[in-house]
Amino acid sequence: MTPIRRLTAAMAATILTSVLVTGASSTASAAEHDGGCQGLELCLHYNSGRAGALHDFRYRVSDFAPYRFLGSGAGAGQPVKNNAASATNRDGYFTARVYFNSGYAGPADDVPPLSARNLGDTYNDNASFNWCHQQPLVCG
Amino acid sequence: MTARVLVRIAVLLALPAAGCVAAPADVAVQSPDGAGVVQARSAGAEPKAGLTLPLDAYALTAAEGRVLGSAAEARVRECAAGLGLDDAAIEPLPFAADVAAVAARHDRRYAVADPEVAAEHGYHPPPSTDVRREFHEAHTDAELEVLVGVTSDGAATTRDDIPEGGCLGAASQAASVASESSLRAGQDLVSAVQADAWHAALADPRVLDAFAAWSACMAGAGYHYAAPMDANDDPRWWTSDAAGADELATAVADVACKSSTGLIPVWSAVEAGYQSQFIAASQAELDAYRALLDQQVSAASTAR
Repeated sequence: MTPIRRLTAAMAATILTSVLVTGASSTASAAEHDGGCQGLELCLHYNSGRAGALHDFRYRVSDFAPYRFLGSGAGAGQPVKNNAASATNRDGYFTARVYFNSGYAGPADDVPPLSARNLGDTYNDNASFNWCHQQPLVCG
Repeated sequence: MTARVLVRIAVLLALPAAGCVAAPADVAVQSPDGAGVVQARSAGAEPKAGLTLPLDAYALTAAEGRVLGSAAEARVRECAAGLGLDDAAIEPLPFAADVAAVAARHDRRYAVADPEVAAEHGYHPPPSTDVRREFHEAHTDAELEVLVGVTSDGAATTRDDIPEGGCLGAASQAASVASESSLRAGQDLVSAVQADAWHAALADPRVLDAFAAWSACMAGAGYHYAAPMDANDDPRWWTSDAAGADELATAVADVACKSSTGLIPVWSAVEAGYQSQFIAASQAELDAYRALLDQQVSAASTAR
């Protein structure tokens, strides 16, 4: 093996290792804002029917302005605020309430536990979201 | 005298003529279906008293919620104990809904409305405990796997003795005496009526007149917005978690203008009128949904 080829092989091995390590750590950490829709998260999707790029949130957000759709699907890199078409709630107990206005104000769409829906009133008009108890439905 | 004239007069009376003007008395607003007059709360009333809207009849009251909540809590404890968690490991559980929270559920419907909240927090919601975050952070990964059915890597548990959604998910499913799909259909209908009434109110001339009066009042104080939600949603406020000086000053002027122009009584009465109208258009379906809620409550009461 020539020095160049050895170097190339070493580099390939390094790249492969880092891919494996990165891949392993991203599945094991289950962090919010990582583009994977995991348990206990509200995921907002760029397109209807849970299609396109998504952003995953574990905790309430009083304004979506800082967030963008993640990954490589349709809408990736676009702002989440006023741009989501559908939502998935992966919490088994709390209802996710998506509001038309910032700071949990104005009308809202509810996403019940372990369900998905196309957004109605807040379709492309999603500004904030909170988690709500079911019985009775109170949020925060 | 038409409803619109009534409101115009109320709004004109309430306009700040020279400096501070007393808040208007109760504003009578004709409901859009013409069926009756809705008596709005006085602009001077404490927002803490809690606004009620006609659609509230199709949601659980605080007392009903407590009945369902305590039944669900008992089921969670039984389920978690059966899966090996002792009492200390089960605590805390996120059943913290209280009467005050139910009474306050519309407090931010028209954005900030309380002068003290405006002065302290601007358009930002006052800080409150994130009960859900507290619940997650108080438990180990193994406890959460039993309670919510999710492992530390975010995947659904592979333990086949844990129900979907964990003990919390199972408890809320068990509370549904009716089929899940009937309940969802009822929730969707309530949500649709709520949204339709909100948008109908935003297009109603009585509300538009009230917005114009509010907007003129704000302009007098040096702030330029066409409608209250434009002030709430000003992107300058939402780059940080707490209000800055500009936001506080704007919110204080906003609440003062809402009060002096009698905005919220007009807006909420018009919205209530449209809710009543749209409820009447789907009365049979909504009655059936309310009956499902009543069944849930009575099943939970007898279960204890």
